[in-house]
Amino acid sequence: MAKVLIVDDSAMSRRMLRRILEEAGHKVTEAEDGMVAIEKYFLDKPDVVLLDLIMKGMFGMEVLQKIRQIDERARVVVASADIQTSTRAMTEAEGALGFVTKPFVEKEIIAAVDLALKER
Amino acid sequence: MLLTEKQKDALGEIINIAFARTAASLSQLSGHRVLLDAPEVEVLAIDEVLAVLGNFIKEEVVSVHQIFSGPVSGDALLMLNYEGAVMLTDLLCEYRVPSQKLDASAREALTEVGNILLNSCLGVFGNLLHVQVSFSMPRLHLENLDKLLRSITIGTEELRYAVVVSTAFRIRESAVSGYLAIVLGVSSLDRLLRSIENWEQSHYA
Amino acid sequence: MLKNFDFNGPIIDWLNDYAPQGIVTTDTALIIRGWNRWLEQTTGRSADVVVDRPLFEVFPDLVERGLDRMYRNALDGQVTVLAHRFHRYLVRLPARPEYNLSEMQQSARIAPLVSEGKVVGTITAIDDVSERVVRESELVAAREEADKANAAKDRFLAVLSHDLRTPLTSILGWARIFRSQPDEEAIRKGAEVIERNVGVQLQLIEELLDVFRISAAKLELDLAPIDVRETLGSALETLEPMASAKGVRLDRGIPDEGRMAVLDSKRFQQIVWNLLSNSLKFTPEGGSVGVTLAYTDHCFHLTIADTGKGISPDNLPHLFEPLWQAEGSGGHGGLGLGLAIVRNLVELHGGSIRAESSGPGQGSRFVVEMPWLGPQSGHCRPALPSNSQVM
Repeated sequence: MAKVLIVDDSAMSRRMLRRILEEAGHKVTEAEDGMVAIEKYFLDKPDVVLLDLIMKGMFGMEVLQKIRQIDERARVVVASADIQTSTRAMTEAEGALGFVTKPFVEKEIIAAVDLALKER
Repeated sequence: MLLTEKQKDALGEIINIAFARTAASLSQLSGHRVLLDAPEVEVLAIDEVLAVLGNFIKEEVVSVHQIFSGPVSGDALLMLNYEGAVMLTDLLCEYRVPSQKLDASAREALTEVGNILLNSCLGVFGNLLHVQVSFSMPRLHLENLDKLLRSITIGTEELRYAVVVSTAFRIRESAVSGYLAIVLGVSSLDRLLRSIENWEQSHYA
Repeated sequence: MLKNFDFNGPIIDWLNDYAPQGIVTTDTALIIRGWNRWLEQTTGRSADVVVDRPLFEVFPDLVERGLDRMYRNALDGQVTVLAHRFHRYLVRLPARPEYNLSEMQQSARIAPLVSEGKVVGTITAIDDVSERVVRESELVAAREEADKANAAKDRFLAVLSHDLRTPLTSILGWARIFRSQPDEEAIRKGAEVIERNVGVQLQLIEELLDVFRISAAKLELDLAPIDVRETLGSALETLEPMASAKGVRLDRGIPDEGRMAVLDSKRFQQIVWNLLSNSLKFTPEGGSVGVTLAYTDHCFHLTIADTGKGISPDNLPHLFEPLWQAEGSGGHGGLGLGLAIVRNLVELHGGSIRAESSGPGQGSRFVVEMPWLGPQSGHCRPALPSNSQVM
């Protein structure tokens, strides 16, 4: 039971993730772009952030960096359709605690969020 | 015929997945990290396309074209302006001296790039939407946008629509903008949108 | 049955024999069913040896390179284009000997064979694009050369405009002073400076003209028999005051015997003068410049050695290139044309020149070999490249 902040510019993705996470018993807040996400991180102090890498406007990587700057203990799981290993490596280097691919697989998402919660 | 926000969103997500696979293939091919920007999706009537793309493509459009058929049928195109096409092939193929023209090798390389992109979309329609289409051989065209669009719609009676997706290829600190266009008739478009909605309802497994 | 798709049809036969590309077809199990004449000729394997064998058994490196995936995609109805730029070749075949290539460069297409809406096999078309590749890379090389030449020209023009203007600035300055009631001292000094600068400018212009004349092949030698020692002697005489002013000793090793050579007297003077003044320029106070003349059967050897700055191994190969200026030699002025002109003139006479140096600070040697009987004699041509580093 944790507070999860979903960051994705696709309303459809946010809906799907909300369904998945709420069914697993988590509390969900949403942000549809990077700026809003950073604001909400500050105000709501979620336990885990589920962040989409490819967004219009502020790139997901920037959001990851900024959130980790604000709070070096931030738990961020990155979601993306981008399957390149170099992308995954880059997000790990920036402190992401997990990586899930799109299209979403329910089990994968729950597992990634649980793993991130255990980290700290 | 406008898409609802929901439909636009879903279409964008599907294409995003196809783009991610395309980017991965291109990265492997070229040895450089390639990214494709998040797709901006519009559905336009075919005669609006000229107006929308007119600013981006001033004279000749370089396009890779594949015809697809099956439960949905139509034409799929990757479109770039000439300078963009030259730059993209230079970036992917690592030329020491920047080219001024598209020579035969560059045109061939571009055809493969378009083929990879269009095949990814095909694959995604097939895998996720369960809409199996088959594609013709890709063809590279170099001509006026106007002429290109007319040659695609010639001989069809149905009103044609185009799903127009704008994106950019990012390689080695440079970006090349381009458009993906999927031109289809009303009934194909309808079928496509319905299968996307089905996907949204039931896809997470 | 496969009604409209007859492997033995006359069109297929014609394509099989005459298509200017490799065509191999398989069934849905990826067993080879068709193998055309082009492939027989380029692989050396005839159709009966290859047909009915699995494609990946005949071409195992398709699997190694991950290209088998394209065939499975084809069985799913997908078409794959393999551009030369990305893949180089589909199957490894030897290149034609006239191309300097390690293997045949190819582009290919892999597609499904479809009959009545069903996939019944695959077809692969392979094009030999070796000639195109060679031609395109020649074009690129030519473009690079052109770019380099343009860059060199731009540099040259920049230096030229600077060097031509500099003496004029001086002259202009003094002209102004002359206009406003100068005293005797100023007049004398000014006249000296003006004379010197005019001299420098004239020399620059002469060098430029020489370069143009040589490059336009308009330079004609005015050949006549002359005594080499005479030219050497007068050049050394003219240089003496300059050398002693600088504190540099001029040594001579010139034979007593005189001999006639077929030379353009004026141009030979130019050669000697350029080399001597070059050595003098780079030799500091207390050093020496030595001039030696030696006779052989067919040629005479003129050696000008100095104890000056020397030449680094990096610069040695470029010494006689026009417009080449070694790093840090900018302060000595000039356009860097002198040595290039010298080499051209020497070679026009049918001779050769080389430079030697043990390295920076260790002095340098210039050795000129010229035939007695003029450019037609065919002797004294450079056997080694014009420059060599001799320890």
